[in-house]
Amino acid sequence: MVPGQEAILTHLRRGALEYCVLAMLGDGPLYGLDIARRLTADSVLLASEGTLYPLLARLRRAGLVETTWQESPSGPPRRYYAMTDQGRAAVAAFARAWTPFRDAVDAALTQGETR
Amino acid sequence: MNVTTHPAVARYLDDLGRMLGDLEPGERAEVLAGVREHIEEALGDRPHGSPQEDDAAVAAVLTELGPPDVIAQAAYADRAAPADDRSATRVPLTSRAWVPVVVALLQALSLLLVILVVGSSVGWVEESSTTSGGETVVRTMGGSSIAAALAGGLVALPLWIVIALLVGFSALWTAREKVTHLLVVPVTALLFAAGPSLGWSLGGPTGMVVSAWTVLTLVVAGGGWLLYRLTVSARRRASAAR
Repeated sequence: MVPGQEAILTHLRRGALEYCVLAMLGDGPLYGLDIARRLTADSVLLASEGTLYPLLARLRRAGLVETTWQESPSGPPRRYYAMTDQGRAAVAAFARAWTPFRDAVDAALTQGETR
Repeated sequence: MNVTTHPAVARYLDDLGRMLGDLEPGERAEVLAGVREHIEEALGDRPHGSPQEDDAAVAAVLTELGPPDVIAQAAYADRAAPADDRSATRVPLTSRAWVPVVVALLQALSLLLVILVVGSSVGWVEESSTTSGGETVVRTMGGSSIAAALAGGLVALPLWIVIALLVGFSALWTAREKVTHLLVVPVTALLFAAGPSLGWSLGGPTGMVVSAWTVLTLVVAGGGWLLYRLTVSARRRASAAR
């Protein structure tokens, strides 16, 4: 059976999504809905917004992000997620691994095409 | 609008909470809180107020969140690796590495019991031979060795049942090895019952003594070797399964 594109994406997201979320926090804390909206903009990184919350909970428990409450201009206070130093180090390590990985996958795919 | 009062939202959060039931309580509460806040925030962004607008907004927000089971799946998938490890190490009780050792010890204990019971009865018979005439003792000897072996077998029966349960349910022995394990004690008792009588009928008192010692040597050496082999092969399987 050939796996469909959605199944392949699910597998690929599993290894990369948490680092994308972390990287997104590099410029400053964001709240849940904000992160979800950015990730679903192209629906490549996140298919269902709800799956973000187990991931955020896990990142917080791993000490890669921390949460703070901030007043919202509209409605109740918001829970903001901010990157910790450990989270910053994790993103940096991922970036170092990702570039050669991406290049190798690209190279393998192009090689296959030209044959 | 208080979102938890909308029936669709309440149902959604209820379903999600139930599906996250296997998570650690703190983690479950954290995921639920995140989703609830997301719903509140997202509903605030949409036109709401009238029942129709509320219904439409709730439906749209919940659709974007995705079905609760997809969220639950994501929550459990994060832990997929450790969960897999755990299920791999969750070996059935009767197939753990200590089972062969315990079975071997129980078998040794059973053999010892049989030997002791048989030995003490024979000793008693021999002792009686010093008081009464040799002929009378000799005549009862065949019967008494069977009785002694039977008594030994009976004493060892509770242990044999424990052994049978452990070995029977275990996946560490092949069917043939299991049969061997279960035959060790009965065959021992049988040898003790038949050996001396046979020795007597073949060679008189000397034959009986020789056959009794032969049976004892056979049981200790052969049984010991057999148990050792069975235990080693089961231990190998237990460590391979880990």
